[in-house]
Amino acid sequence: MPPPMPNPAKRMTANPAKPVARYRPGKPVAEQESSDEEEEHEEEQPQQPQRKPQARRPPPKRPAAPVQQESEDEDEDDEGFVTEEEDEVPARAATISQQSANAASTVSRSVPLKQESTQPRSEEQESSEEEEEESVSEESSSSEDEQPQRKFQRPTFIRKSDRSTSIHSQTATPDPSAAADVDAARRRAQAELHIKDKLERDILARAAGKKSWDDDDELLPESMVDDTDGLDPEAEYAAWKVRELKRLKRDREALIAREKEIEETERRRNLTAEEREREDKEFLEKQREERESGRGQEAQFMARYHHKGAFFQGDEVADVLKRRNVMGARFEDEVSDKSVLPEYMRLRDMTKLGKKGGTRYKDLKSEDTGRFGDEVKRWRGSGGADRAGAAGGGGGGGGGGKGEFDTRGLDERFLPDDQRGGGGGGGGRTGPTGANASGLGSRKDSHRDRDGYGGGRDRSKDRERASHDRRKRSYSRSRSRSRSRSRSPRRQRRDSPSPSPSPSPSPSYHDRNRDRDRDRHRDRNRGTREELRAY
Amino acid sequence: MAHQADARRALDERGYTGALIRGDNPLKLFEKAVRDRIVDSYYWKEQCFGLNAATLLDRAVELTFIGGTYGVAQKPTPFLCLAFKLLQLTPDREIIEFYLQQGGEEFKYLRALAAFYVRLAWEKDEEVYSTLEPLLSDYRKLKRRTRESWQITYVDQFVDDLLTKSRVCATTLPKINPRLFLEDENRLEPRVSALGEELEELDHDDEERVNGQSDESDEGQMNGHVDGNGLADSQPDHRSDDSMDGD
Repeated sequence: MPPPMPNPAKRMTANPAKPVARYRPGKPVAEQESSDEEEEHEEEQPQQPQRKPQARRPPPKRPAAPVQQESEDEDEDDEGFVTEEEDEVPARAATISQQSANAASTVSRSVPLKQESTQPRSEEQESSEEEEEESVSEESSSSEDEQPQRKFQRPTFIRKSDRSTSIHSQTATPDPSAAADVDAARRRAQAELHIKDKLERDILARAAGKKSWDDDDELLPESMVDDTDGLDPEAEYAAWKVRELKRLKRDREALIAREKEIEETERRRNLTAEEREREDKEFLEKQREERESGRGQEAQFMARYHHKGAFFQGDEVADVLKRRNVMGARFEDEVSDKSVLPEYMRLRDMTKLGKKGGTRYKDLKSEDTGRFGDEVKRWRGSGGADRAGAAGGGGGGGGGGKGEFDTRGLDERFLPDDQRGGGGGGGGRTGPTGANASGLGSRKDSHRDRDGYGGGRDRSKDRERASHDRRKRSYSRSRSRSRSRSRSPRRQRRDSPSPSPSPSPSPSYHDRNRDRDRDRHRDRNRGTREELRAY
Repeated sequence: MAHQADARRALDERGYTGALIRGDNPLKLFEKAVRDRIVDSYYWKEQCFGLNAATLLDRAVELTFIGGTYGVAQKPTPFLCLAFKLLQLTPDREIIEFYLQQGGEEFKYLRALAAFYVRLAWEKDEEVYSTLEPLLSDYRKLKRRTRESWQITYVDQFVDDLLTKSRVCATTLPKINPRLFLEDENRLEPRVSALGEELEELDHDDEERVNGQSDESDEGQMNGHVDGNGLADSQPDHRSDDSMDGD
């Protein structure tokens, strides 16, 4: 059903629809409150003393008349404090007016009252109201029965002028109070009955041994198990015997196990080292085999293996379901072991078969690009048998004569020292490598000699000159830039031809110059160079 | 200290001047969570207020089950609360032995309570073993409250658990040396079972025949060298806890 159309007459609020009317003292308030209807009816009674309490009645904004119906306590001795509704009409009116001022704790009780009181009344409503209140009070008292008597009735204050003890009110209005009396007596009797019942129930409960701290008996009664002895002495004795013998057996087995272990350690101590190794190896093999064969259904090759987690172990239902694989197939021709499939179809998620993209990661072993462990096997030097069985088949045959690693694919930079230079030809000097491999320019000896004696000044001049030259040189020799970026003036770049990339230059003019240069200047500039080097 | 009605003094460790068990406040034998549950429970507040050894006896004879904590909220059993009270009182040896022997003759739950206390509080292993092992011949039934339900157990079963398991009734028992170890050190004699004579008979029978007696079927593999005395308790570390504890 579609929601109802909003009614323009109604305000969009949960409050009562009609706005609150102004209270004017002395005038009846046009309200729809049931309490007020009651009050109005009572107002109709031509009783002058009621004017005053009516006048003093507070604006009836309260949602309902909280008539507190505790017929049990009809105690009117407390001056000014009335905890329940009184029997007599004027007193009742007064109390109702007072109680309507209370924040009612018994709104639920007032609801039935309200519903009842909205019925139209044709006559003086004492009796009918009394009946209502009786019924309400019965309801209330019945609800009271379920709970222990813990509710404390909130006392309401009645002004001294409004107070009337039963005696006075009785004398004042004999007629209505006669009927009220009968009802009051009836209700009082009922209340006492209720109290008596409750007390008896309490005594019974205490006698039955229900302790206040022990309230779990409804769920799991203690009588589920019975611990009386002597029901069947022989059976009990026999059961005890069995238990005792089990304990003895356990102790004995512990003793035997200990002795066995001692014996085993002795035995192993007497074996030689190889025998121990052999036994260890056998044990490890056996362990591995057990582990791998035991992984039957769950973790096969490329199977989707979902482990539920260590927390969810041991449930019987879960175990049964785990072992059952009849219904595990996700599609019609699913195989559990994908090694029978061609490589293209070895996918973890078969929905991605034939689709572009995605990594085709299979498992670690196949994706591993390193040859980890091969070197280790070779370095052991444990004989040709191992090498033949090595995983790297290509490398196995082509390994160097010394049984080292395969150097065929290595960059020349990573070659071992004895294999450099094209296989170690001829014992030639390899010379400086890498950044030092640039060729040296020819020396200009005169210039060098002038620069011989040190001093920062000379050096700086030298540096300037060198940079100047370098700049000049850079234009002309842009294509033949030296591999080394060294700016040291030692390098005779001015006259150097384009450097040859060969790391081992043949003995030439350059070398001679260089050597002479080095030697000469080493001695001369020893002092300065060492000073500088001290930094 | 016995009449400290307010338990807070005993639980507050700063000024504790009382008997020490294993160098520490006896109440620390229970874990903090369990201690809190006990002290907050109604049984403790109503019944264990200002008890001494004699009035505790009154409470103990009203016990009807043993157990640790139960339910979702880990409610402590009265047994546990009384054990806690015993730890707080740390009564003398004679009192405990009285609980065990004479009192226990008549009230099995009192005996269980005293056995629990002995296992927790006594520090010398030999005393624990020698005091608790005679109870292994008492086969009366005990009601035990586990976390979700009830079980039947026996006094000897309970004592055996105390001696072998590591956690019983929501408490981690303090470590004691296994019996084998104590026997090796000659601090203890090997256990003499209550079935002593019958066992010897059984052994003889076994040597004569292949099968054992009908009702002792598990004795069929008895070795010849073991007699009724060559028995000892196994190491507690090997025992995993079954449903005995109330955790």
